[in-house]
Amino acid sequence: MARDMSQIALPLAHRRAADPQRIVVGNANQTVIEALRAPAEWPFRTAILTGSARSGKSLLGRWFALEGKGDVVDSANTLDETDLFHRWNRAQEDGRPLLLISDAQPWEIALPDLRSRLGAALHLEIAAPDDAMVAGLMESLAEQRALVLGEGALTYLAPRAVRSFADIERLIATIDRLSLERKAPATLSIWRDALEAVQGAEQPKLL
Amino acid sequence: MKATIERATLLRCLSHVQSVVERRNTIPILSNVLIDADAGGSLKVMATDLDLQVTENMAAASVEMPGAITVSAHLLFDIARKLPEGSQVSLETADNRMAVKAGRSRFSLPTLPRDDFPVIVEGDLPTSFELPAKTLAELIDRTRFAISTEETRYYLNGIFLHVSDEDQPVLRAAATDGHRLARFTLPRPDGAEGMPDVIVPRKAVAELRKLLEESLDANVQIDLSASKIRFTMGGEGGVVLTSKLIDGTFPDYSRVIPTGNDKLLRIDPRSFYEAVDRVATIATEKTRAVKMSLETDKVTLSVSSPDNGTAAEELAADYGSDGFEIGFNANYLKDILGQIDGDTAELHLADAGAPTLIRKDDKSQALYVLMPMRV
Repeated sequence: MARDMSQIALPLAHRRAADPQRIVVGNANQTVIEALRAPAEWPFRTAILTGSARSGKSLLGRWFALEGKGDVVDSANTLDETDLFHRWNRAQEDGRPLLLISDAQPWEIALPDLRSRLGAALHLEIAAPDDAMVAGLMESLAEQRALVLGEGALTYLAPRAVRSFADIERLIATIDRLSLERKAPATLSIWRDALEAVQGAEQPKLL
Repeated sequence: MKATIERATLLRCLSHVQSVVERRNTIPILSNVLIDADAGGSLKVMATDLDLQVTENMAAASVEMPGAITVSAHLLFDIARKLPEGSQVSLETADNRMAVKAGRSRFSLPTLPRDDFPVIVEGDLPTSFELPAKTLAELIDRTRFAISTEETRYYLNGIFLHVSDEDQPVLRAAATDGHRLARFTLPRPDGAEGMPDVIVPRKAVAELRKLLEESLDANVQIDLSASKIRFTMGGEGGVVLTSKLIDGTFPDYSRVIPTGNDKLLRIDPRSFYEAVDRVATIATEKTRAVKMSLETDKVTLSVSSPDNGTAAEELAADYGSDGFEIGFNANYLKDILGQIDGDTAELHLADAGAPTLIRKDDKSQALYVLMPMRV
């Protein structure tokens, strides 16, 4: 017999602002945030921010710009290098701090002038989150989805989840989807199935 | 308080309010109804569960002594039910008791003081409009079956009401449980402009629908704020239902209503319903899955179950797109088909994993979206 047919859920989503209400601060981004607060201390008032996918680089960039601390160039590694070099020069002339966000790591720069300028800039990297920050991220992601995670969810999930920003986001989205598909509150069996769906079974099954 | 009232009047009134009262209550007074007799000869009866309250006025045969008291709603209702037809019921309070007398029957019921009876503070209800009771009843009938009962998604546990400016201003009602969605649209009534988005809880919807049944020819006055809603129905003496609204945000449901589904199936909803019902006899209680194979002008329904065997049925239909297979929960399909009167229903399909749009035609006020099952 083929496996049972199962219900697919409607892709319901809440209308929400693109950005979350708050930025989760933890071991992974604390030093980055401290550095972003003091752009005057950056060498040549230039900093380069890197980090894994979904780690909040653009979010920190928008916060930095919103605070009026300086200018931000997101996905700077995809721009034309000559244009970027002009951009850097202009920032130097204006005396404006310039934050460059790179999605590539390492960021290979062909233009020698730009490479030497950026080599002297401050390098900031968002690290991998620890358990405490993973829990904080899960809480914030669930809140954005109006998802009730259930009692004990964070103590169960945080130590078992892969410490990757993108995976944590996928994990919470999967819990939300499974709970809606099964019309059931998010409890242990759903947390477990979501972990398995996102990062594979914890132990190979006997049968 | 001392008043005499006709048994039929008392029974009808209690039957309206008693279902608001929960069977089990940790706060004793919530098991009671408030009875308030005024010198003008009318009795006000009120029941509440703290989120929802229903008030009804009834004419008394006589009020000998005005006053107010609370007694057990279910006891008084059961007594009124069993009293002989046509009898006059006397209600009289003395020494923390209420005596109920009719014919040769005597009851003495414990009471609680009226001042302890909780009343929902309505506050300001700035949005006011009227709807024909029939329209409001249809709005409820077409959407309530899709309300979610999963309590952690409390924001889906009701009917979402909102106004919107399309080609013309409309009032919309929507309900979803994450598997299917029902939407009902009507022209925006005068006074509803600028109305806040609200979610009316499931229990209030059920009580309201019951009350509407008795005043289907009248209009209903609706007053609301972002946190409370009040329905005032005509009828004898008038019934007022006030409910708190669900404090949450309804999902942006319009995004799951497909607009580009290019495969159109036209089929008689009644024979489709019956065929689905027949083949689903075989389906397991758990999944209720029915498979639909679409070919040119033909639909084949099939169900297979490891325990119960297989079933199949062919139906003539109007279909001209590429053939494919899609699975649905038979009960969901029946719920929706049961809503559609007339000779044809339109199913707008895309593929086996995409939301399917179901409606009578492009002029129908009701529209349904059904999510398939993985085949």
